[in-house]
This record gives sequence, structure tokens and C-alpha cells, in this order.
Amino acid sequence: MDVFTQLALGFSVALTPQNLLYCLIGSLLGTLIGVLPGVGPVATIAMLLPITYNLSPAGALIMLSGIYYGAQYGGSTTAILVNLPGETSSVVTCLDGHPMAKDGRAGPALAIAAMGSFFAGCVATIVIAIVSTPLVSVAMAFGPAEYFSLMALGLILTVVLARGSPLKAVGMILAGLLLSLVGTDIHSGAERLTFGLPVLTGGVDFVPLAMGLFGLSEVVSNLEKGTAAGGEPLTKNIRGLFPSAHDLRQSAPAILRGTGIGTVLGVLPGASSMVASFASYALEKKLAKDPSRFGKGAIEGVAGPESANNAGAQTSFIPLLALGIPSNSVMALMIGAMMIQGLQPGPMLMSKQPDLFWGVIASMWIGNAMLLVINLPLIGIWVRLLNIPYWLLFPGILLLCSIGVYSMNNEASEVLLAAVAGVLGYLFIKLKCEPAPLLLGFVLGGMMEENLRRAMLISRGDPRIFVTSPLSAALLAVAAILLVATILPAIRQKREKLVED
Amino acid sequence: MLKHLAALAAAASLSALASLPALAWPDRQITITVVTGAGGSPDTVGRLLAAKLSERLGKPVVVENNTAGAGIAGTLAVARSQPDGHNIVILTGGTPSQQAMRPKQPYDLTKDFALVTTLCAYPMVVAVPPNSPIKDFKDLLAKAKANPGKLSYSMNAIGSLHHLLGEWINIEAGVDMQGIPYRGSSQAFLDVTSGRVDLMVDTGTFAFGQVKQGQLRALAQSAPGRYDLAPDVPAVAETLPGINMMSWLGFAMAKDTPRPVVDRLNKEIREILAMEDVKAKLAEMGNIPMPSTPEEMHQRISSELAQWKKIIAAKGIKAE
Repeated sequence: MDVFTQLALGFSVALTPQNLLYCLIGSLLGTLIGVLPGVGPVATIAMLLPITYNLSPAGALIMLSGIYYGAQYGGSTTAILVNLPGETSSVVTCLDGHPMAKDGRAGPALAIAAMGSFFAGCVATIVIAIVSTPLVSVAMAFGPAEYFSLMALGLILTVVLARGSPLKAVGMILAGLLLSLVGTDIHSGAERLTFGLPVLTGGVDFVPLAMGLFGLSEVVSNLEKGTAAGGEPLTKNIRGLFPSAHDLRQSAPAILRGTGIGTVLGVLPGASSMVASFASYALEKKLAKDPSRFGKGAIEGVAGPESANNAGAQTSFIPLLALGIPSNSVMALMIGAMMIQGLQPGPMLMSKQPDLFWGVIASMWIGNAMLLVINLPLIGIWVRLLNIPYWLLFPGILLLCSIGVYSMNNEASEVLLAAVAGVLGYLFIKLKCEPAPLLLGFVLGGMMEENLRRAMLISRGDPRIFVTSPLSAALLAVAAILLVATILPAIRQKREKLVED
Repeated sequence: MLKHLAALAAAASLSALASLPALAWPDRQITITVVTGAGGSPDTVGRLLAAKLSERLGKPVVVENNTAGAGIAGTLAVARSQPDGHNIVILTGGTPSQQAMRPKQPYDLTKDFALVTTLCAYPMVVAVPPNSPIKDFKDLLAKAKANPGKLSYSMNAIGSLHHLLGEWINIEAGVDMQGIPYRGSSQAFLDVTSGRVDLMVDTGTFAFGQVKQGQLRALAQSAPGRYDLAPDVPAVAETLPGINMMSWLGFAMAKDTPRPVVDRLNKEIREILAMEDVKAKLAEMGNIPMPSTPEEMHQRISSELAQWKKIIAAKGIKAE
């Protein structure tokens, strides 16, 4: 049976009125929770699980996956409008998306994010349909040594990604690495840097940290600038709701590259969609004729990463469908949903229940189209938010943040953590230090350490494991080249400066 | 005068009601705290029971996930909650091992809770990829003996049930297999199936599913005898008598919760666990129902604590 007959079977399942409705409900719900910071797809899907007991297996999975990729769409909205990354992957969207909004270009930013996501979603759906089995071998090829090298490359990319002084970026990465050490070490069971506080036993959570560093500190610094006192909105001159032809020309290649990166990295279990989105950002910045535009509202900086994270979100279904293992906590929930329905996720699913397998895949394409149709008209409404006087807007932002952080674990101490991170973030703005490298160091650091030690345990203490694996060696080599390429110009500039003096 | 009498009678009947706490419970929403993430088996089972309980008790029963502080924060919150039976925490087979590893943690499972009942249980599984040269459990021990320190097994964090089973086997068989810690089963599974790690020690929930799909071959499971849901997998105890370990889930409430409330909840759970649809859903997840009395649950936790402390001391496992 070729792919087309299989896809036709899938569409025949996904296009029944009932399943179309579940798909619509899922995508709508997903968009909504994506927009609300802190309330993520994990909590939502967990709450809806008992409801799905009574649905058909296909209907249940179609709705739940709709929530997941819908949330990826919605997550970019708050990142662009108010600098609030609701999820790991939208941290990168803040970097250029919010400057665009401040410049009155929130409309084009939101539209390009939606279009990029749509394109990436379509491509990734086809990829899942055609090459999910070969892509599984990518996941198999990544052992601890390869993960370590990938993370090392990621950290080097982080320096590239930062604007301003590389030294400050390195400092922020190190601070992030330190933060990632907090909590119980799985290799020794020891508690590190928890200061005896039970809430830190499991480590610092990403959401309060990101919300504090980006969202809360942004609120403080806006208030300081006096925008609130004068009752002024965040931006007065909103220029256009849709991207211009020039914007589209700039974004198209970024969307293509982002989709490619996201599709491949999405298959790896772990923080793949975040790694994908900032790998895409770093690539766009490197390829740009004028890298200095990045961080000040470059549309490619929104288009690339948004496409990458959506492609990654979609292809993270591959390990679930092909191997029956979850690549993130949403996928773990999907496994729970499948087991409740009496389905065993794994390689036999495709041959035993082709209607379900292909139906879910076809629904992803339909869902992405629905999301585009839902989101484009909404842009007009979202952008109006920026017209609200800031003294009315910021209490709402603070409230949403607090509710979001609290509702993750029903833990008041995590709201405090967000507040502390907010103060820290304000300090960083004053010191002109970028918070993004810190967050990336935080996310990558924990995985890097675990995989380093795991690799060393597997090799019985022989560090050659990192270079004897061709994949790991190649990743490390790219990292080294990038490092040299970043440091050399900085040294040369300094020398030139010295000569001039 | 008549009015007076009526008022007196009303007051008397009210006080009679108040003296029967089993009837007054529950008077509002019941919260079940799950200290592991959404989607794990405690969460899925918790939500299944919550739906059934709220049907039977006529009050909403909700599940809240609190993963803060490796689960310690949420467990502690229930231990310190009002002892009125409206806050339940789901303990797991991993909770006693956590306490054995952390003598300084802020609560003691045997003293600070009103234990209600265990809910369900599953064994741990020792498994290899289908093409592994290791033929069966005896062969594994022989190969481990011939190559001391060479074989590796995937597990969860230090002090997890995965780790304790691996080390228990090491002790009883006199072998030295190296545990490699992973966060969750996914990456462990990929490393085992691609041959980087020799075998997998994982939960029945995960492993039996993969065995059914032909992606893993089970060498042994840790139930005291053959396990109902996988009768063809030999027990570890058949080769190494004395080793048995079940991971379980159980309900606990704050310490001074009135005994009638505990008994009522125990009875409801017992009846729910006997329902065919509940049994079927648990079986899908590799679980069998395991209701108990509060005393049996206390006994289980105490003996596990003692056993884990013994293994931890023998292997010098320390959280340092």
C-alpha cells in the first residue's frame, strides 16, 4: 500500500463530521491555553483525559493532539505581545517578536508566526507519513555521548545568538548552568544548592524562571520608563496587520530552514523543540547580511524559530507512533490516553490499526489548516491589546503570570520564585545582560551534565567515547569551528582598537 | 411549649448527626494530590479512581499534580492538612525508598499519615532487546559472573526501585552489574535497544507494553511468584529466592483523620477496585488491583523501609 492510499484512508477517518469537530475543539482549546502563560498543554490534556474515555480512540487522539500543536501556535502570541514566554520554545520568539510589537509591527509578527507554523506543520505531517521509520534511526543514533556533543554545540550557538558582549553572554550561560545544578542529582542522589528548602529538592522549574526573567522584568522596566504614569499604551503607531511583500521575501527562506531543522531535531527525546527553535535563530542570524538587526525586530528571527518549533512539535510524535516511547511529557500523556483506550502504542499500531494511525496523521494537517484560519482573524483583536493604556494592561499581565505559575503545581512558593527571577531579570536589564543565554544554559546544562556522566559510565570512564562516535565527533567539530569563528573577530576587533588607541 | 419541644428535638437530631462523622464526610470537594507528573501511572490511576469516587460520594473529587521538590512538597502539604479526610495523597512504591535514601526528609511515612489502603501493584521487569545474546535470567547471571563490572543496566535515579532491584540482584547473585541512571524510560529504552546498555530494569507498566510489541524480551519480573498479567515471564525469585518487589500505589491522609472516614474510603475503594471496567483499565497499564487494610499498608511500608535500608547499607549507596 503506498502513501497516497494510506493518506486517503487517513482523510476518510479524519474528515468525518465527528472527528472534524474534535479536531476543531482541540485546536481551539490549544490556542487558548497557549495564549495563557503557564497553563500548558500538559495540564490541559491531563484534565481532559477522563473525558476521552468515552470517545472513540481516533476522536480522543485527534482532539488531544490538536491541543498540543494548537498550544504551540498560541504560545507565540504572548511572547510577541508582552514578552511572556509561556513555553520553553517561545523564549526565542520573544527575542525579535516583542521588539517588533513595540515597533508597532505586532500584526506582521503574529501573522508570520502563524504562516510559518502552518507551513512547518504541513511539511512535518508529510514527513511523519513518509519517513517516520527512517527517522527513528536518527533517534537510535543518539546515545549519551551524542547528546552531550549536541548540547555542547547548543551552548556554543547560544553565545552566537546573544547580542552585545560575548563575555557577558558566557557569564549568563554559566549562571544558567549553575541554576541547572539545583536539586537532586540523579547520578548520586545528593541534593545540591537546595539550602534545605523542600521546594528546591526537585530543582528550579523552567516556567517561573522564564516568566520572571522575561515577563516580570519587562513589566518593571516598562513602568520605570514612565509609560504607565502617562497612561500611554505599549505602542501607539500600529503599522499594518499583515506582512508586506518584503517581509514575506525575507521570511520565506527562514521558514524553509526552520522547518528542516525542527523536523530533524523534533525526533530526539528531550528539550527538542526548544533546541530546534534556537538553532534556527542562530542559523538565521549567522546567514543574515546584517546580523545587527537581530534582537531589534528582525522578522526572520520570528519566522525561523516559530517554524522550527512547530515542525519539532509535530515530528515528536514519531518516537511515540513508531516505538511507543514518549519524547516529552505531552507524549507521555498520549500514551496514557492510548492505553486507556486499550491501544498499545508502538510499531504494531500502524499495521494493526491503520485507520487510527493515518486518521490521526491526516487530522494534524486539517488541524493546522484550521489553526491558520482561526488565528489570522484573531490577530486584529490581539493587536488591539497593545492599544490599552499600560496601567490597565500590566496588572492583567501580573495576574495571568501568577495564576499560571501557581496552577502548575498549586505551589505558592513557585510564585515567589517567579518574583525573585523577576527582580533578577530587572537587574540583568540594568546590567545590559541578556536573559536568553541564561535560560538556554539552564535547560541545556542539566541535560549536558546527565549525558556526560551517563556516557562516561557506559564507557567505563574512557573519554574517547566522545570522539570515536562519528556523529558525536562531527557535532564537537562544528562546535569548535563555531567557537573559533566567534572568538576570532572579537580578538581582531580588540587588536584594531588597541592599534587605533 | 410545643415550639420549644420541636426546637429541642431538632437540636438533638442535629447533634446525633454530628456524632457520626462517617455520615458528615465528605462535606466538600476532595483533592487527590499526585506528586508525579501528569500521564504517569499514579496520575492515570488517580484520575480513574477520582471519577468513580465522585460518582459514589456525590462530591467532586479532583486530582492535582504537584511535582515541586521531587514530590516532597505535595506529600508534606497533605501530611500537614486538616485531618478531615478531604485531602488525599497517592503514595507509591517509590515513596519508602525515597525515605530510606533521605533520613532527613520532613515526614515519616509510618508516623505522620493516616494510611488508607493500597490500590494496585505491578512488578519491576528485567528485559533485553529481542536480538540480545543473553538467553534468559540464568544466562544473564552467568554472563555477569564471567564479566565482572562489564554488564550495564538502565535504571531511574539513584535509590529508585529500579536501582534497588538491580543492586539486590547484584548482592544475591554475587555479581557486579553497573546501573546507568536515566530520567524516565524513553532514552533508556533507546540506549538499550541500540546496544549501548545491555539490559533494562523498568516498571511493569512500561516493559510489558514493549514486550507485547516485540521490542523487548522480558528475562524476569520481580513479583513473589508468577505475575497474572504475564504468566510466562519467570519470577526473579525462581532463580534468586528471597528477592521480591512490587511497586504499588496507595492512599494516605493527614495523621489524625477520624477512623470512620478512613474506613469509609477504604470500603469505597475496595468496591471500586472490584469493578470489571476498573480492573480492565488497570490491566491495560500492567497493574493488578491490590486493596488492603490500613494495617496491612503500614506493615508493607515498614518492611519495605527495612529492606531498602539493608540494601542501601550493603551497597554503600549514599546521597552525598
